[in-house]
Amino acid sequence: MNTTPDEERLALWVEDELDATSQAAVDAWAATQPEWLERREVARQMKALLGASLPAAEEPPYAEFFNARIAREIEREAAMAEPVTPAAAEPVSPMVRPSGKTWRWFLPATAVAGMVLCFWAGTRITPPAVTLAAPAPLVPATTPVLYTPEKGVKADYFASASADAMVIVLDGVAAIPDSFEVPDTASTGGGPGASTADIDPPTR
Amino acid sequence: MPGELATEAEDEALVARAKAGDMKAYDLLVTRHRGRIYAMIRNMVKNETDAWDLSQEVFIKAWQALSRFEAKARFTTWLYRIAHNAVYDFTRRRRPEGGDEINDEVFARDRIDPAAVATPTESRSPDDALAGDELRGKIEAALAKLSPEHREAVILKDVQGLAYKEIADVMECSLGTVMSRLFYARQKLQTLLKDEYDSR
Repeated sequence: MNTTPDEERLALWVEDELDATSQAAVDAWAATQPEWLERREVARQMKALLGASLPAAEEPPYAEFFNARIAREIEREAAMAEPVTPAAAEPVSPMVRPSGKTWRWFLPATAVAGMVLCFWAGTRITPPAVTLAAPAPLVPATTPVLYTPEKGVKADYFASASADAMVIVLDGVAAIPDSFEVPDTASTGGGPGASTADIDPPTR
Repeated sequence: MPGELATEAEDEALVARAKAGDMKAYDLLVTRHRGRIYAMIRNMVKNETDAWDLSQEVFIKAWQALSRFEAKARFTTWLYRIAHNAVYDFTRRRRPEGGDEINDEVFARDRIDPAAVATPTESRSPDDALAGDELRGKIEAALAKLSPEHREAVILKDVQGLAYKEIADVMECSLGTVMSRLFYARQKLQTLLKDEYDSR
C-alpha cells in the first residue's frame, strides 16, 4: 500500500481491530512510518497495563441489595404511574364548588385566631409532676429488626413511651480508642468535607 | 466471537421479555451487566458510594427507556451510553464541596461480614494483592489527572474493551474525536506511569 490509509482505517489498525487482509495492507504502509508504529506499540502496552490492573467488571457491594433496590424503585414508579380511579379523577362540578373568592379573605383571620387559641391553650396546660422514685422499666415496644454490619455484634432495642426514650445497646463493638478524632466530614461545625469523587465538569 | 454472540442473543431474549413487563427477566439483565457498569462508573467517579448510586440510576433509567431500545446496538453499549450520561449529569449537579454524607468506609472490604450473601472474593496471594492494589492505586491516580473525556475514552477502550465505533456511540462523537482523545490520554498516562512502563 503506497497511499496513506484513511483516518478510520488507521485508528482501527492502531487498535488491532482490522481484519487480517486490511491489517496486512496497513502494516505494509506503516513499515516506513515509525511514528505510527510507536503509536500502536503505546496502545498495546497501555491496553495490557490497564487491562491487567483495572477490572472490566466488578460486582457492586451488597449485590443482592443492589438488585432489590432497583426492583423496588421500579415498582414504586409503576404504582405512581397507575391511572387514578374514575371517582378520584372526576372533576368537581362548578355548581358544588365552594366560592374560593368569598372564603379566601377569611383564611388569614382564621389562621391568626387559631394560632392565638393554641398559644393560650399552651399557657394553661401544666406539665405533670415528675416522680423520681421507681421509674417505669423500659418495655420493648414493637421490636424492629436491627441490622449490624459486623459479625459478632449483638444489638438490643428498648423503648419507653412514658420516658419518651429509646435505647439501642450494641454488644461486641470494639472500644473507641482515646486517640480517635472525629473526622471533618462528621463534624457539625466544620467546613465542607473533602470530596473523593474526582471528576471535573465537562468543558462543553 | 461465538461466546459474545450467544451472550448478545441471551440479552436480546431477556430484553424482549422485560419489555413485556417480566421483572424477573430485567433482574437477570441487571445481574448480567451490573459488574461492568459499576466498574466503568467507579473508574470515572473514584468513589464507591457514588458509583453504587449512579449504577442504580443507570438501571432504573434503562428500565424507563426500555420500550425505546432497538436492537440496532448491543444492550451493553446502550447501557454504557446511559452510564455516560449519568456520570456527566452527576458531574454537573455535584456540589463543589462534594456530597459524601455517607462515609466510604461503609463499603470497606475488611468490615464486611464474611457470611454475607454477596461477599467480595479475594483469590490472590497477599503479596500479589498488595502489589496489585498499589499498582491500581497509581493507575487510578494517573487517570484522575486526565480530563473526563480522555479518562472515559481510555477506560472504555483499554479496560472495558469496547470497539472504536461503540465508544463513538457511547460518547456521542466522531471516530476521529475518539482517536484523538485516546492518543492524548495514552500519551499523558505514559508520562504519568513512566516507572511502571519502564519496569515492564
